[in-house]
Amino acid sequence: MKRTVKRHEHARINADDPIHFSFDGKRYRGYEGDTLASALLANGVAVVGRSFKIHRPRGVFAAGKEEVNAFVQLEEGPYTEPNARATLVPLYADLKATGQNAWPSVRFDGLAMLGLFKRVLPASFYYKTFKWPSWHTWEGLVRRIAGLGKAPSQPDPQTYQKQTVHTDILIVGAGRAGLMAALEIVREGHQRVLVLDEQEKFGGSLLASAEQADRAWLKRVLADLAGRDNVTLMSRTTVNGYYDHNVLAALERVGNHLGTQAEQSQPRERFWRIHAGQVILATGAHERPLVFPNNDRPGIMLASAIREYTHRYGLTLGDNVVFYANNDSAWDVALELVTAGIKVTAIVDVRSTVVAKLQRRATLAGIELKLGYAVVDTRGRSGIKKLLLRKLTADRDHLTGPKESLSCDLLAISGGWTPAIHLYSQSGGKLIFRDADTCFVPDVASQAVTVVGRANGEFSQPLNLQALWSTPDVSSEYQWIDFQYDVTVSDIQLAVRENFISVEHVKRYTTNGMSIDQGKTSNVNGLAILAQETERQIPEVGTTRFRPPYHPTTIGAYAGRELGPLYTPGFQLPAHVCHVALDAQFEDYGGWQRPEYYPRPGEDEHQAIAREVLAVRNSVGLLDYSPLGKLEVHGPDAREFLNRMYANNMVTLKVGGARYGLMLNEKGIVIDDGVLVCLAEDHFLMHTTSGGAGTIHQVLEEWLQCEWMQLEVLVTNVTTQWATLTLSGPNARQVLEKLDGDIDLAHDSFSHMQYREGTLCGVPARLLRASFTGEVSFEVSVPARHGQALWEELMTAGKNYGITPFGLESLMVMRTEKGYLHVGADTDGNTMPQDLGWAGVIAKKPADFVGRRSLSIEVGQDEQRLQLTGIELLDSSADILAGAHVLSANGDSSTGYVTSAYHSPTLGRTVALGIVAGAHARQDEEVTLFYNGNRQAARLVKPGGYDPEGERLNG
Amino acid sequence: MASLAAHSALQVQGLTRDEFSVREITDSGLIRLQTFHRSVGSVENVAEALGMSLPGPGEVLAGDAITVYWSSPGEWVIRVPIGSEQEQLVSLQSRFEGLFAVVTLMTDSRVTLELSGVMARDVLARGSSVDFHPSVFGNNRCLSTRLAGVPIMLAYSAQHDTYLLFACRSAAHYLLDWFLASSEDC
Repeated sequence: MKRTVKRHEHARINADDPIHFSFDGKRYRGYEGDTLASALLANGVAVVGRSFKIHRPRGVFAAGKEEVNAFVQLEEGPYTEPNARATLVPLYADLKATGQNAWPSVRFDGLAMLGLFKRVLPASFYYKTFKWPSWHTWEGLVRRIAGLGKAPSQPDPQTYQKQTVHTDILIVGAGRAGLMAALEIVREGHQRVLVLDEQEKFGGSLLASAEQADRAWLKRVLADLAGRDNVTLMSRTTVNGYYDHNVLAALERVGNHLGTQAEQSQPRERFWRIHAGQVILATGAHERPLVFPNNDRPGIMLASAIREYTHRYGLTLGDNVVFYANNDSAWDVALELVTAGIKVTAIVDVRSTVVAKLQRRATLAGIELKLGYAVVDTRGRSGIKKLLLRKLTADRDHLTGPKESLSCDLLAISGGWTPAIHLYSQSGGKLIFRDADTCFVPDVASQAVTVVGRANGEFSQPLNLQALWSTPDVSSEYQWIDFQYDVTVSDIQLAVRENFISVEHVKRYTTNGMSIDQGKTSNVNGLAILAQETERQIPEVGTTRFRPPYHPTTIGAYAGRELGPLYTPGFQLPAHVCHVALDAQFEDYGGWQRPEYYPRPGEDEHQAIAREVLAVRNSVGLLDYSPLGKLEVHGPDAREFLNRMYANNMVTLKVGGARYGLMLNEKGIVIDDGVLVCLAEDHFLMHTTSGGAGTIHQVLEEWLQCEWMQLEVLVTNVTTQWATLTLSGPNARQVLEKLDGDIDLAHDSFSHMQYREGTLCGVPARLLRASFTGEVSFEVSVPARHGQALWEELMTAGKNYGITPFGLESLMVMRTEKGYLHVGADTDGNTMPQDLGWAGVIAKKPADFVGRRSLSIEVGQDEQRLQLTGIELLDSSADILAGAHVLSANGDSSTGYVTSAYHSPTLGRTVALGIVAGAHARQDEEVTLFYNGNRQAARLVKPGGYDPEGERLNG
Repeated sequence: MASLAAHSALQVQGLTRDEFSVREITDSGLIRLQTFHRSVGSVENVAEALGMSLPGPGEVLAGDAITVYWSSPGEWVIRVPIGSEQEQLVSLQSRFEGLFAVVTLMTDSRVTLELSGVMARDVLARGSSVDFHPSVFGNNRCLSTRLAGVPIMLAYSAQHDTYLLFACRSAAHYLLDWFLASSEDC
């Protein structure tokens, strides 16, 4: 590759400001405005990468996102990025890049020896090869050598952001077509217009034009648009996905061009979710390579890329340039190069005739014309040196005549143009194949989208293209279609021989157009060769479905800020600071950060929980129970509504009274439980499972809004209005009595399952006597802003009683000791109330309720349903964990499992609950538990070994 | 014994950046007003008892001492000066005597955040898919949506160029952390 000593004057680089960078450890110089690819080319670096499978040396092939060879490992350590396209990496000071997929370097790669075995490494060879003796024999080796770049091993210190934008009109692509569309729109009205372009600067292929008129037009239009309030111009932004309802996704590279020195306050990339009224796609077209033997050598480049490197970056890439083409566009480039002072030796064209005007201009420019020829081979390992040609027959099906040769140091190829219809296709738009230009173009759109310019197949001049999909009469083994993945014509032929007909199957079997290329350069060549091999027309073969992302997108951008603590919303308790001060061990319970237990210095989890449980059993404990769901139900039909929603009778619930209830869904499955309080005849307070208020509120609203619209009922969620602290233990009443209040706490006036309202320490208070511990308990609710102070007051008031804060895990131990159900833990997606011993309660309820009909179905009556039971280990010193299976009598299958199991410090043994087939009729039966390879003898017992008469909680 | 102390939801400074700020508003009392809107004339009757028309979908209406935000069909949030909400509640209950209208205190269930600064709209767009452009979400508009996964009600005042955000009190710290992370470039 020729080194450029002096850039052309019209180059769009800042030649006054040299920038130093390194590639593979060697320092080079480039300029602001360069890409890494243009800077490497300027420095004469020919080999910049290696192919995926057989490690062929590769040079820069394109100038934009269609690059298939120049992939580098960018930067190091936590900043490293694999598979960065050198053509898309703007040069910045001290940029550090290394070649990838090579050892020790891309220039001298030891793994290139794999090329010797190309014949035994055809498409999908791995499906056939690594079966014997087993995949694992090969796994270590394959994992070491497979893949391209290396993923970073350290956390990324950079940040990513996501943002939504709405616009009336979105224009994708700010080349000539996109900018003209923008001009037309803004002249007509004041709609919001968003113009996105993936390049560093706006202009698209105009940036590669040496024409002063083009440059002036671009400058004028950009100034016009930038001055309008209703137009937003965003460069460095690639639209990657087009979804339903005109929602598009785009990636803005905010700080990539600044490298590792970018300000940390700025995100590295921003992922845009765009809602557009109308979309205009001006995404241009990709030039296609020609397929011929050894067409992958460094120094073989797309003609359009050479044009861009010449005019935009001011490079002279060769002293002896040859063109190989099948259409007119490459001839224009050849003539432009001559004008720029670059020597173009010859144009080889597969067409036997070309428009006379072009032939005349080329001849006048001193270019030798080889019309009706095909390239049959190339020479030059690290850079193209020679072409071998033969004449084509008139029908271009065969070669004829002797082999001829042409020396060159740069080969420009052009196999026509492929409109970039990826986004259009993702939008659901139909495509149609245009024979004249051998490309797919948009046909019928299915969303509000218009495609303009070359993306719509509108080329500025006729291409006059004549296809030659590969060189005939020579080996197909080294004719590359997908350069990066080493897919050659022979791979397509193999797939066809193995009876793959569908283009989608052939794509996956051969990997043609997968991963990096995404069909940009390989799609049409691949399917055309498939058509040839299967003797079909191209439209009959069709094209593969284009799917997002159009261009690789950083995973960090998809994540944005939803990482670590911000991964999902977290809710804090009203007395959170008190729990922090007590060194609580926090855990996420349905989004709530709640204390599991409060370890004291030197205590482990089990010791802390045992201490807390015994403190509650023997004196008094305090629990922050604020996430307890609290829904107020109002209205003249409130009681009727609630009686329909609960499986048990709520008609007889008196004002001031509370009743435990089970709630089912239409299928009769238990979905929630809790205590219902009657505040007034038309006003109820429903308690739901902690953290479940939102879900149950939705269930209630669904019934009210969709089924029972005539019921005059209003529901309001007051869960977070009230901080709820549970004071529990034999001394609970004594502690609560120490606080100023106007509620009579005496046993006779305020007994278990009663509710009172009043004031406590001068603030409104709601008190409920309900117990999940089995001890006397007061659930004390005050407005949330007073929750922290209430906690502090109760802790102070309980000091003489050794009041002990206790966490959720301690509560779970106590409720399991009591045999209390925890919906979700002790139930599964099939549990019906009869499985919980509620058959009698339900039978007595005269009124209908949600789920009742489903309870009577045959499967609901099955005696072998999984039923709730207590489980007692025969060895009182043994432990078991939730999840242990209850084995069948012969021990060969599971008949249920342990749902809750804890060591009870109160009883000095493990207490467990489970759901077991037919358990209600199997009480006192001995069973075997199986867990993690161990077996334990156990007995099915009635749940709740602690205070079975309930004397303590009624105290 | 003195009354229980009150603590704000955040108990910490809000967030002040060059182009974006968040501060907790603690001078607002909130009351939820619900009526059985499927019953013909119910909304009109409630409005008449209230002495002011009720805002329609997405609207905010300011009265003499109260501001009313539309929340959902048949549901509004009434913002009153802090400390007056109990008195207002009783007053409303008495005005609605004989009507099926429910008023519920919700001051403590919500944190109220004021968002300001030229980047406020952009920051909101980082956690929500709503179109916050003034031509769509302009003066005295409100809506219920999700921000960063948290259900919120949001209102915009062009007069002060500020957004008022009402969210579950328990999510206050999460939201502040999210605003911190999402406004580093502001």
